This record gives sequence, C-alpha cells and structure tokens, in this order.
Amino acid sequence: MPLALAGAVLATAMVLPLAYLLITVADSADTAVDTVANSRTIRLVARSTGLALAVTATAILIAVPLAWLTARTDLPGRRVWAVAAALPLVIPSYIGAYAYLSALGPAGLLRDALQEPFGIERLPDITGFAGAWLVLTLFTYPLVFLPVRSALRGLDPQLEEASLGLGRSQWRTFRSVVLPQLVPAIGAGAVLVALYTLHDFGAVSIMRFDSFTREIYTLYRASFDRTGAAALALILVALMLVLLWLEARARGGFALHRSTPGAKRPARPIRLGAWRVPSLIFCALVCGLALVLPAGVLVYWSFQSFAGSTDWAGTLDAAGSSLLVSGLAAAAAAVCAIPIAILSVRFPGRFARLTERFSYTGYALPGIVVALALVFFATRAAPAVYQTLGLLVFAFLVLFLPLAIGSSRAGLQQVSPRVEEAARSLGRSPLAVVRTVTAPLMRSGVLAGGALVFLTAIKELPATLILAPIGFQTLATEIWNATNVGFFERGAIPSLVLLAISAPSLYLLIGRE
Amino acid sequence: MENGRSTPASTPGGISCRGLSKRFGDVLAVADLDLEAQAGQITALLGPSGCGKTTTLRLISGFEHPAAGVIGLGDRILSSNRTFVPPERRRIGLVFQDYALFPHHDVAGNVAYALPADSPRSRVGDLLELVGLAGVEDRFPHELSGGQQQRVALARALAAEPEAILLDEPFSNLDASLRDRMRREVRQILLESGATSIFVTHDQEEALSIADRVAVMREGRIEQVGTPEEVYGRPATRWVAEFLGEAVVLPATVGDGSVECELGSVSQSPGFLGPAEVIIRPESIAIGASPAPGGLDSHAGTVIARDFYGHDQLLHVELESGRRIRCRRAGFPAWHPGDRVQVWIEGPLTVLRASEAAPGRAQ
Repeated sequence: MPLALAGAVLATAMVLPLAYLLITVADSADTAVDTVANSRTIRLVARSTGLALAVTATAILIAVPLAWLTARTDLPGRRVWAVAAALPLVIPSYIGAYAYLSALGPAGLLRDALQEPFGIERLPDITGFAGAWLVLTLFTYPLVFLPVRSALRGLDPQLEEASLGLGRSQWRTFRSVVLPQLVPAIGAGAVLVALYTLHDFGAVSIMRFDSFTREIYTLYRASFDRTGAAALALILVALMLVLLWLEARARGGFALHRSTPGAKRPARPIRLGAWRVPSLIFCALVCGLALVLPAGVLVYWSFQSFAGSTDWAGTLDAAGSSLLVSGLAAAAAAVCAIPIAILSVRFPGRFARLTERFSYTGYALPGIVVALALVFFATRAAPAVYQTLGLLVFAFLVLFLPLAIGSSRAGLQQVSPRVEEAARSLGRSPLAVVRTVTAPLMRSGVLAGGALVFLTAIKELPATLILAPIGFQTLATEIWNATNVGFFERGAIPSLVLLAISAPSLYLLIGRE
Repeated sequence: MENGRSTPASTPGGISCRGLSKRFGDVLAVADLDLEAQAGQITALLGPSGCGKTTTLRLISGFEHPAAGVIGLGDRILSSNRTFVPPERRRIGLVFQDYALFPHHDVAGNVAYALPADSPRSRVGDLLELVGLAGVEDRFPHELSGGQQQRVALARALAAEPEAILLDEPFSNLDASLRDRMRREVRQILLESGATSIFVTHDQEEALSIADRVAVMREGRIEQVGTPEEVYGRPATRWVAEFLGEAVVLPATVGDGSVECELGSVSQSPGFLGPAEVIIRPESIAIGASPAPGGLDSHAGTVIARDFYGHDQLLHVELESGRRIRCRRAGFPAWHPGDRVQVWIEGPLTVLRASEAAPGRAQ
C-alpha cells in the first residue's frame, strides 16, 4: 500500500531531529549531565517559565476585555477595533523587539529626542525581562483575543438574559455566567501564548533576556562541544510537552462547554454609557502600543534609510531568498500532508494515529531545537547535506508540516467517502480515484495549508540562522543582524517588506476560526 | 422516458450470494445469507435498520470483504475465499442514499466521468434525456434539487453500462410528494436499462410498490423471498407478517381440512395438524352492524377505539372473549367507540405452525 509507505517514511523523517537529539545527549551523557545539573539550569527554567507566566497573564488581562468590548458592547467602531486588535499577530516577535529596542532602548529614538532639550543621557533600561515581557505580550495577546472573541460571539444570550432577569447586575452576570463559559477559550489561548513564549528566540535575544532558547543558541555558538546545548534543548522540549498536555486537556474541556448548535438570536449590544471613553482609550492604547508604535518606528527608520544609502540589492536578494526557501517549504509541506491526511481521515486506526502523532513532533519543538538537532544529524550522519538549502527546507518541513496536515485534513473531511466509492464503482482504480476525485476535492484545503506554511516559514528566524548556507540571507536574518549590531535603519525596509508579504496570513488564521 | 430510449447495458446476469457472512468486531452483520436477484429484475432488500442490508449491498459492490461465502454475477465469481474482484472491475453501478455526486464536476461532467473511453460525447445527452434531465448539463450538484441529484446519480451509474445496479435507500432523502413519482420513474428507468437491480430499503411500502421480488432481511439473514404479493399476503413467519404491515394474530387449531380460530372456521389445509396461529391483515376483517351476509361466521364485539386517516379508518374491536383485534375499513361509514358490531373474516389469511411464530412485536 503506497499510502502507508509514504506515511511511514514521513513519520520517521519527522521524528528524526528529536531522535538525533536524544542520541547526541545519550552518547555523552556524563558531559550532558555536568552541563545541565547545576544551579544555572534551575535559574534558566525559572526565568523561562517566569517569562511565560508573566506574558500569559498580561496577555489574558489585555485580551479578555478587548474581546468583550469588541464582541458584546456598543463600542464605537468595534469592527475596526476587532481587526486592529488581531493585527499584531502578523508582526514577528523579533520585528516587534527591534522596533521597541530602537525606539526606547539605550541608544533609541526616545533618548535621542530627549538628549538635546533635556540633557537626559540614560533612560530606564528596557532590555532584559521587562522588554521581553512587554514585546511578547503585545504580539501574542491576539492568540487569546481571537478565541475568546469567537467564544463570546457563540454564547447563547438567553443565559445572560436569564441571569439579568433573576435580578443580577451586569457585572455579576458577567462574572457568574459569561466568564465561566469563556474559561476554555481563555485556557486554549493562554497555552498558545505560553508555547509561543517558550518557542520564541527573536524577542528574547534582541532584548538580551537569557531564556532557554537564547542560552541554547549561545552555547551552540560559543563552544565546540554542543552536548550542553542539546541537553538544554531536551529540557526545553520537556517543558513544551507539559504545556501541550495542558493544551490537550483544555481542548477536551472545550467540547464539553460548547453551546448547542443552531440558529441563535444575536446578543443585544451592552451599553457602555459612561465607560465609553475609558473603553476607547484602552483600545487605542493597546492598538497604539502593539501596532501604531512599531509601524511608526519602522516607517521612521525606513525614511532614515532612504536618506542614507539604502541597500536595495541586499534587501531584494534577501526577499528572494525568503520567498525561495518558504516557497519550497510550503510546496514540500503541502505534498507531504496529503498522504498523512488521507491516512488519518480515510483509514483511521492505530497506524494512522501513530503516523499523525509522529508528524506533529515539530509542533512540540522550538525552531532552535529542530535546527540544533539537524546540525547534529548532518555533521554525524550526512555531512553532504550540512549547510545546504535542502536541510533548511527540511527543518521548515518538520516545524510546519502540522499546519499543512490540519488544513488538508479539514479539506478532506468535507468529502464524503461515498463519492470516492462511487468513482470506484464506475470503473476507476484506487489510484485513479485519488487523482480524479480525492485530490481535486482536497485541493483548496491543501493549498490553504501550503499558504499557511509559506506565511509562517517566511517569518522563521532561529532555524534559518543556524542552518542557512553561508552567505544565504533572508529578510528575517537581515533584520536580526541589523538589530544585533545596532544599525537600526538597516532593518526597517526588510521588516516592512516582510510584513507586507506575511500580512495575508492573518486572513487565513481568522478564516480558520 | 416517453421515447423509451433504453440504455444498452451489457447482457445482464443475475446476482447470487451464497453463505455470505460479514463480521464487524463482535457483531455478525451478515450471517450465512443466501440471496438471488434475477437477471433484469428489480429486487428489494427490505429490513429494519441495522439488519445488515447495507452491508450486504457493500459486500456485493466490493467495498467490504466477506468473511465467508460466494458472490456471483452472471457466470462470473466476484468474491469467494479464493477470488476477490475489486469494485472497479465488478461492473456494478451504485446509487447512494446521498447520491455522492462529484461536487467538482457539473452534471454533464458527472455523467461523462462514468462513460467508457470510446463512447461518443453525445451519450451524456442521451442519458440525461433518459432520466428526464435534459437541459441542466452545466449545473453543479449543489444547484440541483434532491430529485434531480438522484436522476444524475442514476444517469451516472447507467453511463458505465453496468451489469447490475445497487441502490441504497434511494428515496429516503426525498420529500414525500416527490418520492411517489420518483419511485415510478426510477422503476421504469431501471427496467428499460435491463440491468439487474437490487435496492435496499426499510420502507415496506416502497419495497412492495417498486420491486419485482422482495427479500425480507432480519438480523443478517433473509427471512423470506417472494413477489410483493407473496411476502405480504403469505408471510412465511409472524415476524415478516408484522414487519410488512399490520397483522392480527390469533391462536388457532388445524383440523382435518379446516382451521379453527376465534373468528370462526376457515377451510384451509396448511399441511399440518394441531396448534397454529392465523395471521390476518386488518383489511381482511369486515365489520358490520348486523351479522355477515351469505352465512359467513361472524362474531360480536365492541368498538373501543378508532384511528381515522381520511381515506380509511382503523378500528380497535374488543371481542366477547376480551381479545382485541384491529380492522381496517374505508373512511365511510364512520364507526365510533362504544358501537356494538359484528366482525368476520373476508379475505386471505396465513396459517403458521404455532412454533413458527417467532416472538414478534407485541400485539
């Protein structure tokens, strides 16, 4: 059965990085234990989880009121606010961090502006925990905002009316009726924020906050013995698994809480009254910090860059590289997702489940971990592929295949197996049925999956930094390099180009809600 | 259809299943089933839901592998413990309950998909005309009504020139008003195509009105096969009698040349003596204010309830023994609870050995 073979090969390939990580650590277990078993590691765990908790908490505090205001009240312009509030999702954390550092950092725009008139030489340092916290919160809160908003819109207003009818106040009704029903959505979004924070490499590196990913990168770059980096990577993977387990539980709860289907009366918007102005200020503040400020900073730096010597050729080159590597990754992921989706939808069973699980390995692995593991794999087992574009594309495939599978699966689930059987009974062989019926009907799902992979891959930073062939610069690495050396105006145009290319991903993400 | 241009299906063969079994986990869905569908005829596979009829259809079409048994079509063996012909080589057309049209092809595309490579493109038009759908070639399935989708499904199945056509609950997704017309039309089209047809249904009215032969299925086995008149009028078991319609079951004794029951003595020789049950359709029980004319054996009773349906009425009558029977009469004259009446047998009845009376639905 060619389908099963394809599935088995893919599943094996997807667990390869993790397997190599384990092998590397096991090979020199003593060194690994020496590097890891000390108080520094414990501090690292504490710092990373502390950041994840702080970011998650503030993201919830921002996202829930925003969701409620835009979904259930008479807030002026609430549709526009809803779109604006979701937009920061398309800004990669390293662009956000770059914008904030270049604006508020020790050598940033604000200091320059204050230096002459007021003689202020030093601003409070925003690097470190505070900067990472601020930036990650501002660019991840939409992960809570979107599910909570859609949950709010799906709630049955009759429950609230019943509570109000029992004489409860608006606030007590929100607390006792609405909020409990939002818990699953908040939980699911919160886990995504925490996952994102643990995954993140760009923002913490730019803000110089020593979290797991930055430490792994530093160890990898600094020493010839990379066992320590591998051991840390394994601990990070363990942290991620705990979170994913939490996520699975949160999703299980979601099904229980989902309100009954069927046409519902839309809820009557709640009047804000005197709260209207404070509410507007709140929305404006969030959107200002998460959207207007970074955009303004980018625009400012790009004017600076125009005034100076713009490296158009370099940017064009980097854009071409970004398009090439993301395009290859998207095509590979779309093609590879087809057999796995068909297996899991049409032939459910232990084999299909196992194949799908394995293919989702990348979901639990931060980009830096996959990259590191592939370095081990390439240097030990396949030196020929080290520093090739192919290895980078493969890393993207491992990281983003789950996105493509999800989309293809959803596409296939809409096709009744009876349609395929009808084609068989009309004299077509199984392979001809896949070609003439299954594939055309899956096409939109597969294409959407490919697009999603493309738009996610184009923003990827850590794996590109580690695995890209020498001299291969993408938009992401251009921005990172520019920020790292403090040439802020150099990162602006690549950032704007990247945002312009990846902005449509929001449409796909919201469309999937 | 009026022009009667039939589809030249290849010489049809009958379908025969022998000792067919299929197990899903612990459930024996089809249990040692024997079924013959005569060439060129329409056979209904009738049974309650979950009796294994759809599984039987899927075994015949090749989408399930039987655990045991032989399936033949004409003189070909489709499935046995040694051979298994894949669905695409069985030359068996399928019409699904939800029609399963290709959503990415228009009507013409759906039919053309099924055409053998060498057939002229004009066949699409001919087939659509055959099913009464000329003129909608370029519509897409979602733009069609249920009845139209069904005609496309039928045209598509016929386009492949199958030797046999299997239909799975073909009318269950149609409105009641459309259903009667579609039943007649589909029967006509199937007969003209000359293909051997089996259709699965749980609706006894549908089975009786369309099929040439009805196979009544129960718990994975065929309980009785016969013409519609046979299975309705002479049910082989009490279960068949009750599944195919309403039945009044009375204990009886078979004597020499006559059968005695509470509604009198009927001259009939079922071929055995002793305790028996008679099964009478409610429409075979007459009711009157005075005893039956012509010396028929009539019995007194009281109307205790009445279900009025317009064209007829179902009367619940309590006999003097306390036994309750039902009789179906024309809607007029009206009877009312409390009326003292006379009842008598006025039509065919079935006599079963008492032990044959499988425990059926409660009376």
